[in-house]
Amino acid sequence: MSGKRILLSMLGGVGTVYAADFTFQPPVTPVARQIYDLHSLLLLITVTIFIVVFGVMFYAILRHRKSLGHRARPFHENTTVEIIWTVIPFLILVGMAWPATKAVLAQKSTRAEDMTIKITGYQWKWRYDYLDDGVGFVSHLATPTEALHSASAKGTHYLLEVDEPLVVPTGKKVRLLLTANDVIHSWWVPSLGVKQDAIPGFVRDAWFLVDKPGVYRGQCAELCGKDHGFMPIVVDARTPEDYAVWLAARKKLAAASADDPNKVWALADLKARGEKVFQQNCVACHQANGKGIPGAFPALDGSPIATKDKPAHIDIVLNGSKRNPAMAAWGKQLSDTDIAAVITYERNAWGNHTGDVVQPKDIKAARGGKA
Amino acid sequence: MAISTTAGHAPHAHGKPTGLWRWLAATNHKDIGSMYLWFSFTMFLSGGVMALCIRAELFQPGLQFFQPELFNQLTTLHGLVMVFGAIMPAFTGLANWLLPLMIGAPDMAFARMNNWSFWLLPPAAALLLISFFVPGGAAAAGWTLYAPLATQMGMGMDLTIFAIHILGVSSIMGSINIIVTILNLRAPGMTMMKMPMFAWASLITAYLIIAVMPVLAGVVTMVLTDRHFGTHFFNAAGGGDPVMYQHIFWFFGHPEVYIMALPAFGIVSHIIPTFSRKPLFGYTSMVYATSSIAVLSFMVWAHHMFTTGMPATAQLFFMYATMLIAVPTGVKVFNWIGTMWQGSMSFETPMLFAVGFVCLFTIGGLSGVTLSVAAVDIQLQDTYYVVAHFHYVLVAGALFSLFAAIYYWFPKMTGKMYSEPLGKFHFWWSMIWFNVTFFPMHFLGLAGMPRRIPDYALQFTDFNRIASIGAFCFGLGQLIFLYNMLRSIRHGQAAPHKPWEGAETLEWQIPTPAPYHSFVEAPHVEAGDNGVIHSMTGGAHH
Amino acid sequence: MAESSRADNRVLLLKLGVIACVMFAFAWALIPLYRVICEVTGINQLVKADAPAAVASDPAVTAAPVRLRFDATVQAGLPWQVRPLVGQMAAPRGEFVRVDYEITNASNREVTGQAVPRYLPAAAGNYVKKLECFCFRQQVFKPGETRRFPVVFVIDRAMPAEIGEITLAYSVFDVPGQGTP
Repeated sequence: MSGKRILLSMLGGVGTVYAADFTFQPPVTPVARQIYDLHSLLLLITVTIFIVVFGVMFYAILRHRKSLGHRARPFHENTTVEIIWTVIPFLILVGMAWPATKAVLAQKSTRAEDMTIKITGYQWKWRYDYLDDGVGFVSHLATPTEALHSASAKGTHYLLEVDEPLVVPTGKKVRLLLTANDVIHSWWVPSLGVKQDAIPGFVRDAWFLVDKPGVYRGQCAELCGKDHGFMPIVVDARTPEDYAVWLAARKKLAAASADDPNKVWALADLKARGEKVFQQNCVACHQANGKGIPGAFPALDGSPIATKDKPAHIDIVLNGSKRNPAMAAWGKQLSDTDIAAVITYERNAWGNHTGDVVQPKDIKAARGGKA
Repeated sequence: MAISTTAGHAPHAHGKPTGLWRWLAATNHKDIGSMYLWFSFTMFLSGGVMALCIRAELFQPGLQFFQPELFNQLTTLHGLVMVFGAIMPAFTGLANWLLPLMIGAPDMAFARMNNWSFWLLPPAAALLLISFFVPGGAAAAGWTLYAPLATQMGMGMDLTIFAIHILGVSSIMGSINIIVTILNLRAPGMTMMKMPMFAWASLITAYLIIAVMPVLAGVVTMVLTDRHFGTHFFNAAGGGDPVMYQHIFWFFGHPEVYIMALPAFGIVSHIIPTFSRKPLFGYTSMVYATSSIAVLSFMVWAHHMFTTGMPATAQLFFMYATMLIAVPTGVKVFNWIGTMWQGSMSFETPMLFAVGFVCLFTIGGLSGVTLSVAAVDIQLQDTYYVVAHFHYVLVAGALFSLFAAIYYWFPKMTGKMYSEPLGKFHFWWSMIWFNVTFFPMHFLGLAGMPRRIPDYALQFTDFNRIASIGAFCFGLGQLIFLYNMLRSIRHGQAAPHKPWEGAETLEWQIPTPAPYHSFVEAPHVEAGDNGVIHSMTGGAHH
Repeated sequence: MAESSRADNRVLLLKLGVIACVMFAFAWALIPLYRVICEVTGINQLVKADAPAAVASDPAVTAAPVRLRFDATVQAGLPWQVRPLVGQMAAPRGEFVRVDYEITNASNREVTGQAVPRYLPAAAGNYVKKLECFCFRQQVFKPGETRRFPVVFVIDRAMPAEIGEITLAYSVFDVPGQGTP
């Protein structure tokens, strides 16, 4: 181990040396363990084949050389040999197919679940809905942007940390319903042995049963645009008792955070809240400096919508853009207060100094009196 | 061997044209073949620069050089340029150069069409490369251009789609030429089951191209109409299905893998017998294995889609079919080793690359068997393990075979010998750094690093550093090859008529360098398996 | 090159050109083909809307109940909220099942939407015989309107025993150009 570390630190040059892994992350579900064992078996078989076959080849390379005076024996056909080396690999494959088939069938067995969680992929975050408990939230990357640009230190779980992990109980069969809102994403947590594409307009399912409490981390595995590398998944598995405590607290929190939509906010408070909403939802495209990305995502700093036409600003945030599908309809995802806050923020941040305050009731009105 | 210099064989009676016009209006298969090869080498270097940009960004965690959207453009274009710009044209170029010589034909069947199919390539490549500079940048949906992500892209995606159309037309015309040449223009005595393996591989590859490139053209056209003309092929809101894109794409995509591998098999089946000084072992079974790989390649496409959530029965079918491909591929490897067994081997540069190919391609094949097992593939799909797997079969497979081919036929093409020490250095340098680059990627994939990400978690740092260092060294090493070629073309020693003692196919029966118009009169040959020439009469060149 | 061989080449060129064109057409033919395969095997439901089924219910016979789960996902661009009033239930085969969905148009404009049923496992789709569903037609909602829709269906007795659970999850789409600015 230390030898490996030294070698790696030499190759890695200056900087920290991290423990390198040569195989799968430790499996914590029956399916992940099955995959782990299956892979170990396959590795054993393929390495053995490689050693035997190339042992023969390297023997020939060493002994049957012209420089050693070896004369070529010009045989070039042998039906028996051909049949043998067709049949033997075939039989090896049949032997592999047996455990492989069992693993596939186990992965696909989504019946008799204890609870169901719906997962929706968005560019670039995940939404989790606990269908049986009425709890739902969005999970964002928690690593600050400065860390990406090395302006601040990178923590242990750099890029694999979220603001709201998916909390699940251990020892329960959790069924996942997966879908997506925009493009194809893929929900992957290596330790759980689950990777399932989330396809917009379609529903797929998968399942896992974690038997060890712990925090398990994964990432989106299907290229889904600009911030594909920045939508991690964190699963926090807790004992059923701890899970029940968490769930009760989460339900209470949901009830408490339902803001009074008629409250009248001061500009500074609303702007402060709006900045948080902006960081979570808007910064990926419109950037922290509000300049957007020329050619792809428009600037908010100094834009006509964000400085002049207030109703248009509210409409595009609530209902999305008809011209640019990348601009989502946030009305479905954010509360009136959050939308009011983020619009207020956008109208008063960077070089925008409109002094406009958009109140939650304005948003309620824009929604048509219903929310 | 009679070398006739009599004139009057219209349309080949003219001498060598000169100047720019020689290239623009080229109809000579050797000129066109050379242009193909230089073109693909240029694309190889541009794609390589993109690869080095990717590896530079991934040298350490954090965003250093490229923003994520540009990074995605680089991965996308690296794939497209290497597949459609470097590897496929390189094999077509070799086929152009060598097929007429191997089967005793005066030229390719349709000389003018040959010219068109080459000259479509530079504009297509230009479209791909200038797309970096249009608003929104180049396509950034990965080389697979999956919908509906591809429908979100800017104008760069349209340019890419047009480029694919043009490249498709070019490769289809090139393939038609190859098929007609092989089927209709063989010299008397060169029967199908005596043809050299490279001719067989090119023939089967050409059929695959004709069968699947139009499918690719169709599916990218659907993306284009989804983008601009309000269709909903891949949009669930209009009754379409994003997964259908993947089905159609991989119906093209899997045979495409063999389009890039079969010609390599053909090349190696020439070089190993030559340097073993023994005939190819199991020629007939090689022909059948190649054909069955081609047929099976149409039945395995959904193994690229195991994580889309197909029913267990479909997963099992595609898993079994995929595993089955290992059988004919294994037969080929065993036949090559059977050829080397009890040979009288020597290890000049082409042989080194060929043996390197067999070793590394087999590693890629064995990781392919691992990936074929659907349950395991679920963990490995879209990770660096897959990146490692297909670079073993495409770089150590296709690219190494191309290097082997260039070194092997260089004397016949140019009349000069390349520098053997430089060639050997190029091989060992490439071999070492290739493995330093790509072997750690297996571990990265197993440990859970997804592909196509511009930044990664800290536990992936070590192997990424190693891979980046390897990539830069590997890339640098290719300049040795370029230097060796350029220097040898000018200052190389004159090559003998048959520089390789064990080379027995028809192209070695003609003078060196190959005359500009070879076999203007078809020779009569008496051939054995794998195109080994026992005797030849007639056959005029000038 | 002899004239006859030139003619041979032309013929072959033509044949290969035709193959290429046929394969191009084949790519397009894959779209209806895929639809047919999906419908026959029940891999995916692509049909835009399904139609009421004619079912004869036979309440006299009882079979093992099937676990049912209901869900709905509103796709990007549609300002609706769609939810089932009951998340899950158990229902016997061959009997009428009713579940209510509540739909709210959360915008200040008139919006038309279309729901498409998706089933898990996909093969179950062939055995859920719907008699009443908001997915049979496009639904037009006034600004801020909320409505409830009953979904009534029968689970076919012919459904294989290994399908013990069915998830009915609607995907609800914006109908472009209808009621949206």
